Amino acid sequence: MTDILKLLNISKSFGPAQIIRNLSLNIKKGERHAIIGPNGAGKSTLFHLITGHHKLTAGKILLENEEISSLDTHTISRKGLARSFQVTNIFPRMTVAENIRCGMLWSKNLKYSIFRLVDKDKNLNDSTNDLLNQLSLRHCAHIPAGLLSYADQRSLEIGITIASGANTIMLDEPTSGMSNSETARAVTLIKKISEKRTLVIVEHDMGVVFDLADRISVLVYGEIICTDTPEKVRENQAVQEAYLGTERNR
Amino acid sequence: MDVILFTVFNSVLYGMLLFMLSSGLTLIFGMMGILNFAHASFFMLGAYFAYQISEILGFYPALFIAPIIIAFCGALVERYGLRRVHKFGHVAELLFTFGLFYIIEEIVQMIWGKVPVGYHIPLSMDFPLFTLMGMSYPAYQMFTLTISVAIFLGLFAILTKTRAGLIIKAALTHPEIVSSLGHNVPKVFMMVFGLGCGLAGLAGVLAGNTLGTEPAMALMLGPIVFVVIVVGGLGSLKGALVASILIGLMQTFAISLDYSINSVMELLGLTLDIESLWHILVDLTISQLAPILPYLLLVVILIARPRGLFGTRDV
Amino acid sequence: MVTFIKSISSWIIIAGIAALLPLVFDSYFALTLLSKMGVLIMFAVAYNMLLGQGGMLSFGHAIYFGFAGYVSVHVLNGIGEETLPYIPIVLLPIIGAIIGLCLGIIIGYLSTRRAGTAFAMISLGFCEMATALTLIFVVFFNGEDGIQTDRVVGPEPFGVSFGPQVEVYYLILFWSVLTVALMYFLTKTPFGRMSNAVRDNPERAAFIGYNVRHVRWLAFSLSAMFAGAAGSLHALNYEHIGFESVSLIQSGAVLFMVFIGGVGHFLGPIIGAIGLTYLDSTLADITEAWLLYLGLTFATIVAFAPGGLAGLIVMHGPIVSTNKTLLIGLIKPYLAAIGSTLLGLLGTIGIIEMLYFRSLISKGEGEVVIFWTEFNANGILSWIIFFAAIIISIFLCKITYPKARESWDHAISVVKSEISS
Repeated sequence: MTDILKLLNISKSFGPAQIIRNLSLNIKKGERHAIIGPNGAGKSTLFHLITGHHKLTAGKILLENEEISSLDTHTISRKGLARSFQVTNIFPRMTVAENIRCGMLWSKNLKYSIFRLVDKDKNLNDSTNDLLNQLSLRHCAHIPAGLLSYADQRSLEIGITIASGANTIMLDEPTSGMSNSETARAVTLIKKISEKRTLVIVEHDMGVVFDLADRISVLVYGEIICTDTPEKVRENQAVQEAYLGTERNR
Repeated sequence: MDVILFTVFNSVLYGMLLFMLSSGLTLIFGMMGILNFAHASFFMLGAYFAYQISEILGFYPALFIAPIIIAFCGALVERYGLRRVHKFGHVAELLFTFGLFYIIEEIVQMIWGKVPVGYHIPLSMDFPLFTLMGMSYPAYQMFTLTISVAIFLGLFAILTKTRAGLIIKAALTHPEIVSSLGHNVPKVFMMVFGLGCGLAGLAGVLAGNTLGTEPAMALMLGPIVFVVIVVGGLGSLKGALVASILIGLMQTFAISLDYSINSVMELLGLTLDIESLWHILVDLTISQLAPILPYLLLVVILIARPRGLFGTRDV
Repeated sequence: MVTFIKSISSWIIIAGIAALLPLVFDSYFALTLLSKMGVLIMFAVAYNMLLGQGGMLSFGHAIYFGFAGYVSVHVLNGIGEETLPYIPIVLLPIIGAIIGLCLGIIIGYLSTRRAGTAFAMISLGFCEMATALTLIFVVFFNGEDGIQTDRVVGPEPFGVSFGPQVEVYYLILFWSVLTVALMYFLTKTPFGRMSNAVRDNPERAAFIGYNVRHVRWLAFSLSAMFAGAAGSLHALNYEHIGFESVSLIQSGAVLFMVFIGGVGHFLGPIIGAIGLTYLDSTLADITEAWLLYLGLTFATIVAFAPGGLAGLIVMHGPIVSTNKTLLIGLIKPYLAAIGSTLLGLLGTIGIIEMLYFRSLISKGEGEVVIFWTEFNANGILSWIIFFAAIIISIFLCKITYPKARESWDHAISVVKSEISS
């Protein structure tokens, strides 16, 4: 498999504090790649760096062999890289359907158009309804998103992320705060939407990680200490010490 | 030369007045992110209160009482008005203070009318203190200058030498952290807001009798004060001082400069023979353009260098 | 075709009613007022494109309104003196729109480099510069006197000279319906939706592929364009343009209209424009304190109901669409709260009126007329009555407001639980 996303020796410092240290990682096209690690390891910062929200202090990031390190967020997004947020980041005053629809506007080539009516665009609205069905949010399509339950908002969050049809999807703790049944539903959804795409997911819920991931990278203090298949990661000594906790009865 | 010295003196005087007005605003803005549109209104209220009090008790009691009343009013406004608006964001706070500016304007006109009131320099200080190179420097202006310098030194001392000052400085750059350290940040805000308004009121007391006390005061001086704090940098006292003097110099000197593109050309020995509308541009003197200069500076700074000269935070 | 007619049916009905108004209100005063409302509706809706739809507070929107007015006046005078070719008067707003658009593109390019408070301050800077410029370039702007014009110029197609006010009214009606319809149409376009998205969550908008700055710049330019169109009609209506039309005073006036009417909804600025224009022409004669009441209302709305009047209504939308019966439970607490507020309002108005009476005119000899009754402002009784009203109202509000809040919270939580799957 080819590498779709390459992080080459990237570092990020905020003043004197170095958050990401000389990190390298290759994400393979089509794989489901989980990033785990203790709190404060720099996982969200990593996402911000990849998506252009923060600028790298050193190193390069390549998306499909094109350097995206110095590009703006919206430019990177247009190249087919989408992310969701750990803290729900939707458009609360718009209806659920409009949230999804906005996510689709650019990819449907509607851009800044002042001459087309969104309500009349059959293609746009059909795609929106399809996605709403996939997210099981069709029944509340016309409710302001701010009034949704937390779990539904998380689903919407994922929905906006994939609405653009991006090839590479990055999800930041999508199941945080969910109950077991809600998590199970979310995992089913994530599996479905990542079928023909590359998925990078940050998660704390180990059950979800080992269920979903093809490969796992472990991020500790801004460095990746291990990248491997789930079984190998589980057995890795360094990972156990740093994160999973060494089992006493071995 | 003597004219230049006198002009410089006037600029510094005007600049120090601007500093007194803007020091409070820059602290408020730097700390709370609130652009108090009504700041110059408190300045105006200071002048009017001073007028009213000096009619009954004389100038010196007014000098002390008026700013304290204004500070108190400011604290009340923060506690019962602004505090409610915090949760709606900075734009809402700006709108609220814009409404406040409007309200104070109307109240002033209601009580004292639309015509300037007779607030005069106290007779005890209405004489030339000294003459230098043929220009006389009035005692009252020197008095005002002394007080403004004292204010600057006092504020500087409070901010650098006292514990309260330390908290205020910290809250200027990191208000959330200061709050989570257990300091009663709302109370600090209220006091800083009150202090800022009190300073504006004091400036009003001192300047009302020279500039003229009338309802249009706030509208005339208000936007200039914004220019000062943006150019100087939000939250920076030093910046406010430097910017005030700078703007003071700019405005005072620009008005006396009668150079236009045409006159400069003439100095160089060239004559421009331009008909039609373009001659308007070419004939324009700097003194005519003087009113625009501060705002031009404001826009340029906001776009190019939002931190201003010495700012600690972006706008 | 049928669906198209149906969808614009409400517009046709409203336009129709407005067209018939002059038959009922045919006095010069009424027609002038209606014309003024029309112009300000255009300006207010245009301003709301920026403030309500785009989330950008500008203190300088009158620049486009006023400058378009100045250019229009020069065009009219030029046609009158035959130094300019004839342009049909009906097309004058197009000139204003072009001026507004050009200025908006330039100033918008600079302004949208920043957002929030910085943006507002930049707009204030431009406003002050523009006002200063109108007073400096006397050749073009004629300084403090402004410029007079005569709208009866050129040939009169179909005998329409725009001399009579009723003809001006119909011209304004045509353009205001057209521009408001266009602006409504814009809210339904991809640009319009993204403008809302950028307002609500600029960070997320960038993450769905949009250059936030470009969206804002486009909104700014279009908003300035429509403001320019309004400015032309403003100059035509008054046959005069002055520096106040460019100044902070004019910008402040439209800000008040839009905000009090309600920024969150398309109808808000229209309500605000109509309401405030009407009150300005009627209340200003009854009370000296009209502007003070306006300022107080504005500050209160900012602090307590930032969605404005329209917002207060629209807020109940989810309740209406999920379970209408919930509204019934809200009626009593609302009425109680409104009643207690009203009492306090009466008291406050009384006090303010008496203060004005004593301070301004004859230092208040005799009696002042408040609420069509006479009160002796110099005796102590009237003051006591009004103060008592205020104090009682505060006590009542302390009881009724929490109750109203409770019933609202209850209604919303019922709605939320009915939504959740």
